[in-house]
Amino acid sequence: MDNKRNKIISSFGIAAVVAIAFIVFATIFGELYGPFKDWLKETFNHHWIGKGVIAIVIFYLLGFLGICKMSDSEKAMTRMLNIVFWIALLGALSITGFYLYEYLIHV
Amino acid sequence: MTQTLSILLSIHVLIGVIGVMASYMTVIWLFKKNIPICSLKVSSLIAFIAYIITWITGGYYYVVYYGSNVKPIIKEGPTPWVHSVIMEVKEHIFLFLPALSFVVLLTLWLKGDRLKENKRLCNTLALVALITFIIAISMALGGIVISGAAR
Repeated sequence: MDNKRNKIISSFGIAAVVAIAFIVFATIFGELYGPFKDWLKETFNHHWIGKGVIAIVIFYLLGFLGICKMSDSEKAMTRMLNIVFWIALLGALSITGFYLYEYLIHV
Repeated sequence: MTQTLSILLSIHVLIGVIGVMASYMTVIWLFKKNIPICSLKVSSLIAFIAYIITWITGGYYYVVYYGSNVKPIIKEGPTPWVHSVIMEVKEHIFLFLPALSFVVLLTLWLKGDRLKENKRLCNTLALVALITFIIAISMALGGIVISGAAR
């Protein structure tokens, strides 16, 4: 039972990493490549809704589908949580840095 | 602004603050010597639900009203950086919160009983809870700046 729990947390951990990486990619790429942002707008009515919907689908889909493929060790699960922390920190800094840079070069 | 939008915006702010408080309590309790597992489970659940509600209410306001009514006022005002930097960062980094708070919730509900024995797990989870709280409080502070710029 405990091994199964480790697998579930590891799976949602990696799903969070991929979802956050997607949000960072979609945000920056969307600003740099207009057709991608336009596609999000056309498909989801608003680019921000598109990013959110795709991120949540990635998160839950990978989270549930990955459970059986994950390592059942507690050590691996702890390592995955550590990666979640770092990707969230780097993702937040990347988005902040990008918009700050974009603003400063257009002033 | 219609009354419905005003109500949604108020819910967004109030529930958002509740989410920040719940994340703060989660971090504080994870750093305690005697970890209150039951309280942690409740605070992580409140934080997750609060971020989902905040996402839906704030998202509706943002898509329906902000872009066409508030954004032009800020961009033409003396502080256009409030939209170009603060709002852009806020709307995108916010999307991390449902996933992060769900991972914290899942770990506490499934492995809460192991936190006392496995300090490494407890400290790593505290880091994830901490980044969730830092992002959430930044969102709240960003909201204050945006409302100020729009007045």
